[in-house]
Amino acid sequence: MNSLVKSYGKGLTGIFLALTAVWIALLIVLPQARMIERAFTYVDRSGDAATLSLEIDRAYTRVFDIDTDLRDLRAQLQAGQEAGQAAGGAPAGGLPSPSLVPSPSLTPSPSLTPSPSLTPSPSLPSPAAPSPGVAPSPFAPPQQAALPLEEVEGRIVALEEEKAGLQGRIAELEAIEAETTKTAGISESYSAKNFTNMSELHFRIFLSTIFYALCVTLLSFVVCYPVAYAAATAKSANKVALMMLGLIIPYAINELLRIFSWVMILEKQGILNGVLDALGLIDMQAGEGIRFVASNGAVFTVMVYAYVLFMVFPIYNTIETLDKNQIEAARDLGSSTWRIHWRVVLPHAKPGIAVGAIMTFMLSAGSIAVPEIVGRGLHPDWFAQVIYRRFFEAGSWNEGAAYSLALLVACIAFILVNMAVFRVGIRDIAK
Amino acid sequence: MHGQDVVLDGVSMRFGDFTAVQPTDLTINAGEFFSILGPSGCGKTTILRMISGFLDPSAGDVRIGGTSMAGIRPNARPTALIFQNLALFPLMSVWENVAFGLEARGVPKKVRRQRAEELLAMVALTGQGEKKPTELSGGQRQRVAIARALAVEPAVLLLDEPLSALDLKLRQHMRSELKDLQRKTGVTFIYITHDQGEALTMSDRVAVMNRGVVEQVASSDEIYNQPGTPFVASFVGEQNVFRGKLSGLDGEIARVDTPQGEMLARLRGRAGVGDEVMIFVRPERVGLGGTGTDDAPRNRLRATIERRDLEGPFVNLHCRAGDAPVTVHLPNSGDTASSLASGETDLAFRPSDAIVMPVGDLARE
Amino acid sequence: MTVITAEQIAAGAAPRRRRIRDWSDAVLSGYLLLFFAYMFLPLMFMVAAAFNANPTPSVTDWQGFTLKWFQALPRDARFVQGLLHSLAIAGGVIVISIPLGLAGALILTRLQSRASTLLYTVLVSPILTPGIVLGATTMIFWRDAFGMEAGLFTAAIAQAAFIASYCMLMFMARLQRQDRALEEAALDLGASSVFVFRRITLPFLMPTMLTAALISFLQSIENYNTTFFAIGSSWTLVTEIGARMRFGLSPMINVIGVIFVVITVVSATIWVLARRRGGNG
Ligand SMILES: Nc1ncnc2c1ncn2[C@@H]1O[C@H](COP(=O)(O)OP(=O)(O)OP(=O)(O)O)[C@@H](O)[C@H]1O
Ligand SMILES: [Mg+2]
Repeated sequence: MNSLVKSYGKGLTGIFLALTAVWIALLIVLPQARMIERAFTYVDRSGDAATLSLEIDRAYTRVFDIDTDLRDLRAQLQAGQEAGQAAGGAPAGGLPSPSLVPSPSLTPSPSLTPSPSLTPSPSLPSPAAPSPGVAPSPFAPPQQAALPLEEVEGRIVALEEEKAGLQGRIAELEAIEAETTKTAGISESYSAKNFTNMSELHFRIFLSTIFYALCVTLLSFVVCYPVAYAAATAKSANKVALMMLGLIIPYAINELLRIFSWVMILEKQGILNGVLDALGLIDMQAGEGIRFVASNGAVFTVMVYAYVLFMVFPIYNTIETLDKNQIEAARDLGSSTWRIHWRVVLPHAKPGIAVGAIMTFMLSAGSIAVPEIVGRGLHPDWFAQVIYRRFFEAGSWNEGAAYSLALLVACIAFILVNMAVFRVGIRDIAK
Repeated sequence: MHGQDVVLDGVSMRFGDFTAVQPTDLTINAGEFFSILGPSGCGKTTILRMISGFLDPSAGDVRIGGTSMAGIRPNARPTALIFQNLALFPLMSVWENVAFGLEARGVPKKVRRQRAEELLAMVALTGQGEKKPTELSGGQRQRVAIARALAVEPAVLLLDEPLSALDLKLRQHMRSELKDLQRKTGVTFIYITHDQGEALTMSDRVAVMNRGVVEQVASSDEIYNQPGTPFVASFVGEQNVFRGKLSGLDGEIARVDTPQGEMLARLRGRAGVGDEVMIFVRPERVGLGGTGTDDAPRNRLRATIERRDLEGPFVNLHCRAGDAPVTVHLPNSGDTASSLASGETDLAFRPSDAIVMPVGDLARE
Repeated sequence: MTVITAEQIAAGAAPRRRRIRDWSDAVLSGYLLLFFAYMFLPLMFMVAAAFNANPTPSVTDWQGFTLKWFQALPRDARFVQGLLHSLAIAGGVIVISIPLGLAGALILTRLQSRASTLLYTVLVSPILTPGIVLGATTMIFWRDAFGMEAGLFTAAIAQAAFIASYCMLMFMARLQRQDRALEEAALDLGASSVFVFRRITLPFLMPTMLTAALISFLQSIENYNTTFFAIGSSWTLVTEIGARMRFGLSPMINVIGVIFVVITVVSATIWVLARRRGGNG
């Protein structure tokens, strides 16, 4: 503290300390503490009021789903009609995605037409309306097969009816709820039940997510190590610049776009199937096509694609500091390539490997974009998705907090193991 | 500008359990050119940083112009420090560097600018004000640093080996410039160096330091001719050393038994008969046997010439007397010197040119 | 079994080693080619499909060159609004992260105390925390503590939580290269601590400040995981892209992709060139 005052004087030191304190308190420690508190606060919802609010909540969720479906169906309808007009009444072919129709009544996102009844009931600890397009059941295949227009209309009518019924029911239930005291039947207490009550399914998902994330990390390392090595040992300045460009560009392009580009390839109507079609292996016209998305392979491919560069740069940075003469010397002494890497390059790159592994693991274990978009809800769930649903669909923030904490602990454990295995300190890691 | 005196009163500095500066009393007079000379790591910079206020003494008091500096921060002391690496501000132009101290005092820009030009003129850098420090040569940068320090009109200028980064030629040139500047401004200069030539040529007085202890404070002449301790004797200038046992004392003159024979020399420090002692005699005070016109007693020894080096005005003879190497610097008179390439010769020096000191003082080396 | 002499080994080893090296170099080159194809082909497909009239993004089923998706983009109110939200959040993130990161870095570089490693760990921990956890904790905390519903503000806060750490690391790297003698020299010339900070330290940190602002901006615009959790019912460009992708693929996203790719390629090229010139000069 003295050293600070000596460097900056009392006034500035005070300002810096205050800023840092605010940072730690408001952005790091208190949020974390609150999450931990929530994680260990168990809300018992066995009481009547709780059951009631749960039912209201379900009804809202269903209404929300119906809205989404309705919107999709209307979009189909309109697109079908337009296509019909354009192509002289031929049935809809390629299904345009809803956003292609800039008619105001058909804007793609549900929250643009938020019916006031969609806000969650106040007695529930549920969040504000979730971000659009996510809450609707992820199990609904995003591209439904084109239905005949009449059928679409029929379904719209049916859904409208169901929605009206539900809204009536909601009004009834809310009236009852307003009479009973709000907290009756809901009791809060500190306990570890949010963890111990984790269903076996969720726990399995947790474990498999960790396992998959480890696989992604390992795979990323295998894929990127030669690249990092080549980039760090490239001799000509032009080659170095070119490789840097080749690494930075995909690194800097948004994660979602990178995922998107792969989904384009792996789609049922995607490029990969198109290539197979062109090779005559399948016949897409006849509806053949391999569903590459929503498989483990697809998720791995895209995850490695999305996160491998977080492994490349730290390793590149450490190998770059290696005295290249050491490699030459080892080679002169007759070491095999394998041996040079094992004895000279890898030991030197340890801190970089640790950093890369930690980043890759953390990103893939916590990834929600890849499993949600590539997995399509058909791939076995990823833990991040489970957390998301705890928060936004089940409306149980405390369970969500508990699950988040579990994920965080897994990441911390991974970091600690890495620090021990690679013998690096925290200052080597975060550089 | 007027210099002020600097007094160190029992000042010491400890870093943990390592004592970098032992308790020291030192008085530096106002307007004096004072050098601190010593080997690397002996605590010179530490003393300077205590005077300028970057370090608080572990004990004792620093007084400048009679005022205690305890608790006074560097920016409130009447000192200016010239750093070992100069520490010019790289993002500012030369004149902004020079005017920085004035800027910090809120002097208006016009006045600053003008003052900077005056100072630059004083250090012979007229017209270089707009350049960046990196665009100057080493010697010019040096002078910018000096101008910058003088701009705040310090009473005491502290210089930490300011010439060490310069080449020999420039170093010699800058020595005389610094000396001139000091005379012109009357500011007290405290000059740190481990180059004895620098210390001896420029200073009014020199302090010789070793291992955190100031061993001797005296004029250049005295340091050279009357070293107070074996360390000072051997650190400053070249010395021939003979080891022996004190066998008798006659007032100031001691008799010493050495493997090279009995020798007489002036005693400095405390020693009794039978003590292990060392005799120091400078190479230029040793002559060839037989030379000398007066009848004063002489120490004589027989030596073998091993090598002869011509160094322009001097001829250096490297000899060996018994197990002791002896170096002799002879003025190059042109005739006799060339015959002295090898063989045996007689050497002689006056007892008044040699000093005896107890070995004990050096034993802690 | 033949006995091989040392000479024979020496004679045979060199060319063989050379052969192995050529061979392994060739394997490495081939691998690099594959790797960069893996990295770039999807992006190229994405770019190409933006110009395909086919409403399902594709390059295999080419239905003619068109720019209509580019024209459709600015008419899409949600994307435009999302972009504005993104910019607003990014602005907020910069305003929060730079002072916090700077304060943290200044303290950590000068704090001579055992607590400094602990402080460092706390301050970098957000970088090592999964984005969804950051988003969730921010959302919970600000609602529970201040009754603030998730929205643009919480999104900015959640992003700033980890972006400030990145800023701090950048500032620390710069500060470690600072010559302390400069500050001391200024102090010695009579400057106050505040003056030294304003005139010496801040100008020294200026380039880093700009880089940090740029990187904060990019990180903020790009961020998905954290924002997704913390933004509630609002949206940014990127969360909107994510939301649309769930409905199926739209060439509109390809168009955004093209824009991102162009911006990235141009700025990355500038950066690499600048770095090379800086490195050589
Ligand atoms: N901040 C410090 N902490 C611990 N030890 C220090 C510190 N500063 C200096 N020392 C030690 O004090 C001793 C004296 O250092 P000082 O810098 O005064 O030497 P110096 O005489 O200036 O040497 P040089 O000629 O090499 O500059 C050295 O042994 C050094 O290691
Ligand atoms: Mg020093």
